Amino acid sequence: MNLFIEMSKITNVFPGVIANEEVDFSLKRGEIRALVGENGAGKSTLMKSLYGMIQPASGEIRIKGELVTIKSPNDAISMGIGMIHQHFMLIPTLTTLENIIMGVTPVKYGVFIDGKAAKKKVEQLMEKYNLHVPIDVLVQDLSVGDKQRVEILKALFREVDILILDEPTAILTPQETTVLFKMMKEWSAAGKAIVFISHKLREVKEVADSITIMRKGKITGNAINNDITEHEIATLMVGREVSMKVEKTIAVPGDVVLETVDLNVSDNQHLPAVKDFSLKVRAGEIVGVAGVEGNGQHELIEALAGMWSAKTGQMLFKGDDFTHRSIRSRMDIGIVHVPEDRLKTGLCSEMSLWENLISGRLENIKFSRGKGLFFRFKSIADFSKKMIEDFRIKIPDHNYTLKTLSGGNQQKVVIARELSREPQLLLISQPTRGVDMGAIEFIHKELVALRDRGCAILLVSADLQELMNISDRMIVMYEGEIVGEIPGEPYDENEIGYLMAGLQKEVAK
Amino acid sequence: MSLIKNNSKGSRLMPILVPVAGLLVALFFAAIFILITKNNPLTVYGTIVKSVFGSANGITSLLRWMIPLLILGVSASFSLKGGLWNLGMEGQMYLGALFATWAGFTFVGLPGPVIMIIGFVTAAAAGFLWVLIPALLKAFFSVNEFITSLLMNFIAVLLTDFFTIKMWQDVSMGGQTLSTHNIAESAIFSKIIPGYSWHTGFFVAVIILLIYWFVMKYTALGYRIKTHGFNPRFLKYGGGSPPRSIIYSMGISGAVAGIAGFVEIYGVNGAFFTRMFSSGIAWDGLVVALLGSLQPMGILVSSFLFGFLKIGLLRMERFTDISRSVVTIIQAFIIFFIASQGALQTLKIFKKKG
Repeated sequence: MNLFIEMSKITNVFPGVIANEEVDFSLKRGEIRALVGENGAGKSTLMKSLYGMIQPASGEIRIKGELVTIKSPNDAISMGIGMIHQHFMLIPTLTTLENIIMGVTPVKYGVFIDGKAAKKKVEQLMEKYNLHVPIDVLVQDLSVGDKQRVEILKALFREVDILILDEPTAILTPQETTVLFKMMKEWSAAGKAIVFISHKLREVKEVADSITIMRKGKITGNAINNDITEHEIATLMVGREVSMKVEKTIAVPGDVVLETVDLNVSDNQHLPAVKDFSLKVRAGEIVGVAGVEGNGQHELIEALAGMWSAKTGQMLFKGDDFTHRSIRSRMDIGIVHVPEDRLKTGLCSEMSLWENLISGRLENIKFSRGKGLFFRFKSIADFSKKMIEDFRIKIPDHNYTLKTLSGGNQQKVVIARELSREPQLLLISQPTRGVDMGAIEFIHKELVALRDRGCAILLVSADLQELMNISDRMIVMYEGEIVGEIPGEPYDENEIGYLMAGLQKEVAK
Repeated sequence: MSLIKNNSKGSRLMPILVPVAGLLVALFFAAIFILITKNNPLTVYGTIVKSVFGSANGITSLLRWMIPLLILGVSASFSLKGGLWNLGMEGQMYLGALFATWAGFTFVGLPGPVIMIIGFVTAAAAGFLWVLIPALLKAFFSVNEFITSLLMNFIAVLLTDFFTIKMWQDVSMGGQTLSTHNIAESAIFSKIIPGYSWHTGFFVAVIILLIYWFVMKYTALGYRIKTHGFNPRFLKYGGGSPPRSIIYSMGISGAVAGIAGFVEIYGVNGAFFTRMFSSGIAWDGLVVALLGSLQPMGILVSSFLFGFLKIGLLRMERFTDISRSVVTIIQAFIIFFIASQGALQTLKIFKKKG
């Protein structure tokens, strides 16, 4: 038998929720198996029970034919299973080497860390798996891709045969992703087995040998990669037909709504984050901002929305300077902001739906008498119900707090509140991060409909596919500057990838 | 107005259940100590209950103590709802009391109700201005209000000493008392039942509680204070101003604490004495707020419970042969158990802020 792992009839139960129901999952030596599904489908839960982070309520796990109980990640590692989480579990103030050997340090004379032996072993490992990372550098100074490689090295150092990668590409540029995929193929050729958790179908098709699809805690499909199309996978994931491509007409841009002139914004460390940024966004067009996260997009949107102040330069709304206006007066003239981080900024998850919906409109005559002196609960309730209906928010009623809602539903609350302001300029960041496929489709359609009503939209996203799907034109940001403008479809993903990595700039110099 | 209510079904009863359950657990543990002293806990508890509820004197004393507890409970709630710690209630209360007294003996010629209004306003202003220092420091320089407001208590109490002794001392007794002149007779809260200490300041306390309920439930001001408590960034994003919210929530808290001082002077003491308030009263107010989960009903119930404890334990000493130190231990137990429960509930607000 070549089966590395056999999980049969695994059931995982959380209070009130069945996360996995009688799930069967198997993995062969040298196989790259993709595990796909929407957020909350139970992919991570299933893998966490394999990695010993949770104990399944029922079911059996066999490793190399042997029945096992995995009580902790330590157990899992000793059985040859390693997991790379979405969020790195590294200590930023230690070096690459120290992070890799932590907990399994080679020791000499019983007490001293054998630094030389450790270093030699790690270097051999890097050579063998073609994973090169500066070894004596603090982890905090490494790039995201390097940090991920350190995580992988950490697992390989513990001599695992099975690697579970939880959405590893979410933080990588297209080029880094390509490198990762190449490495994954090399490892599988060397006999390691890989579980690749993802919801990006294109990547799954590119790298996986076989695909397991989950929906609502159950397996809805198992297939060899070549036997299944992206469209079929999407249907199995969502449970209905999904249109992958947003239908939209060609944009008919009107007058300039937003104009920035030589805008400079610093980040919270007082370092320049946006540099001499000049851009025009017209009514009725969606301008996409591509770029690896941390290249000034965040500061740009925050400055435009008024959450953060610009250092120098001008921001004009239909020709009027609003650089120094308050958030509230920006809202009043029709500048609307959907922040990238709904839990930190866009919502208050401890408060009810209605309390979240009236944010920014407390003094509105529709919602209160005497400018916020006395709430009109009847019309707040009516408005909330309309939002629940129009934006298909799944919530029992408007008095519920948002804590227990899924990411997609929470995002719909933000979108509902902001889009119902009838914006003239929409600043929207990561509109579908952590949102399931059905909701992504819905949000994209709403954005296109808003554009068709004449709104100017500035869209920032880390998801290149999303940008290419709905932007009418695109700019690429690198280190706070615009390094490329792409006037419209067709978009060349490679070109954008190079621009995102700042390569064009190097060439030009 | 049942259209909008708060969340899950259980949460309506929680503000009442928490303090009551806390009391029961506390009584259980206190019973162990009473057993050690070779007394029967049930008899002791029976004596306490009888001593408080068995006489008009007991009941009215309880209600009289509810007055400052209620007001201070509301004061603490205004700051805690905003995610802020106003630990300077004691100082604000002292200054409120002192300046209300000043108004009471300065405007003697005016009609009683007018003096009361002036006293009320001066007390509120004194409390407000005193808390403004930590509030502004917090709002504009992010200085931890926990520490500044706490330390300002010492300054406030010493200031009242200075004013009482150096400025407004009543020398008619030959300087034998460290107190100010008495306030006008006409401005004193009348007793609800003649001969007992329960006075009409009780209605002021209830009205303040009702205002708290109204502000938190129906107004944009309450919404902003609450939002600041949960997530200041969300408040800012929605066009609100976190610094302004800090000033409102701390400022109202300070003004209300000042009013507590006013009510004590105009209801009970009639003049300001140095170090007149028991040092724990402001802290009791904080515990009342936490124990009542910052809910109006909860504050009412827990101020009643605390009033009961205050009177009951005092009388336990008087009517049983349990020694004072054991009474103190039992008191500490009770406060620890009910307060920690309530605090745990409320502190969830602060947990996220790290």
